[in-house]
Amino acid sequence: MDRQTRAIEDVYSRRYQSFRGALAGIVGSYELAHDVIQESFVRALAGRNGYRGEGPLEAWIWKIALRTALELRGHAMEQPLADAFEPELPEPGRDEELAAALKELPPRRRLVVFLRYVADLDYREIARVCEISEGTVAATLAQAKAALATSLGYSNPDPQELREVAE
Amino acid sequence: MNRHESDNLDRLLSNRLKKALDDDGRAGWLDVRERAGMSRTVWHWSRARVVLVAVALLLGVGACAGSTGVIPWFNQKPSIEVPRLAPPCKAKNLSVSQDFGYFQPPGQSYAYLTNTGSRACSLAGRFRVALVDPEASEPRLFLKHASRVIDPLEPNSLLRSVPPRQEVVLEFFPGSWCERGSLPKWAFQFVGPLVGSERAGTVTVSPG
Repeated sequence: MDRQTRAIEDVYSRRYQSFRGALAGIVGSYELAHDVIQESFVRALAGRNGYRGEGPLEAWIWKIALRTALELRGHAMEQPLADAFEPELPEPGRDEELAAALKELPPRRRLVVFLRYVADLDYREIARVCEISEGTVAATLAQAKAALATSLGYSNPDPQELREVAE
Repeated sequence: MNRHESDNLDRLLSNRLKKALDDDGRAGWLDVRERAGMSRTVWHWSRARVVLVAVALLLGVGACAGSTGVIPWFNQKPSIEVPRLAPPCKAKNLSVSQDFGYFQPPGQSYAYLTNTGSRACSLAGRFRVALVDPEASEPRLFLKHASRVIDPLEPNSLLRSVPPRQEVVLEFFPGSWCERGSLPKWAFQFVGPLVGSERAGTVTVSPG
């Protein structure tokens, strides 16, 4: 097994659940998310020699995943990735307040929120995946965060709750 | 909102989103490899699976080899030609020699029986060995021990038909006999085994 294959397998085994959760929100179901993950990693393996090491490997795979998701949903491939999805909770009943708060956000902000808080990508990785600048990522995330904090009552978060989260 | 508060808010949002999106779906890397045209490799298998496959392969190869003749000798049993049972050796056709130097208790001893006849004869079975007094008015068996003729190469075939001039070895254990002190005047008597209803001859060897 070559080095690239091992690295891709490592991303898969460590990050499968993150991919699954974030993609479930992006494509609308866990089953479809799994299909997208499998297909994305197949493509990543097939095209591993095309990865030149520019940027993190995980971001490269995420980009493949979003393009695969677009393709599977029959969306036009020319569409900018940052604006191609309308992520939401696949099972809104599990947290109706959060589901409603997310729906208030524009699609691009929702996507950045999912990539940041569920997929755990940093600003640089999100910028690469969504083909936007890091500054745009930072601004988009700040706006989304502020809106969510307001919707969810985190504008003046309970200090006890913050301490528990911090711990 | 300061940096600390912002970090805490990040954690709050991340935890809440992950909780709402938590799912126990199972990953399937082997499926990815297969679809990418990479065969499943044994080093990805569990040890038990490798052992099972190896055993199955061995059984399969064995079955194929046996049924198809890929390995011609796979199902063959080694053939040993067992000669027809010859008539028992007679005393007049047997010469016995023994190295009395081996007669050191508690060791074993050997006698060498040679077929001096012109035809093959049988020595199969157990001999009886006796220590006799040849000077007594009636030969008196002193002790009897059952002994066997040994032939380390083909014990089942040669003894059934000892060819002329062939020598075989008779093993016995005189070391456990009593009254060894009077040995010089005693002789060994080898009483041949029964072959069918006939008994091989009795051969007496006097110490020389």
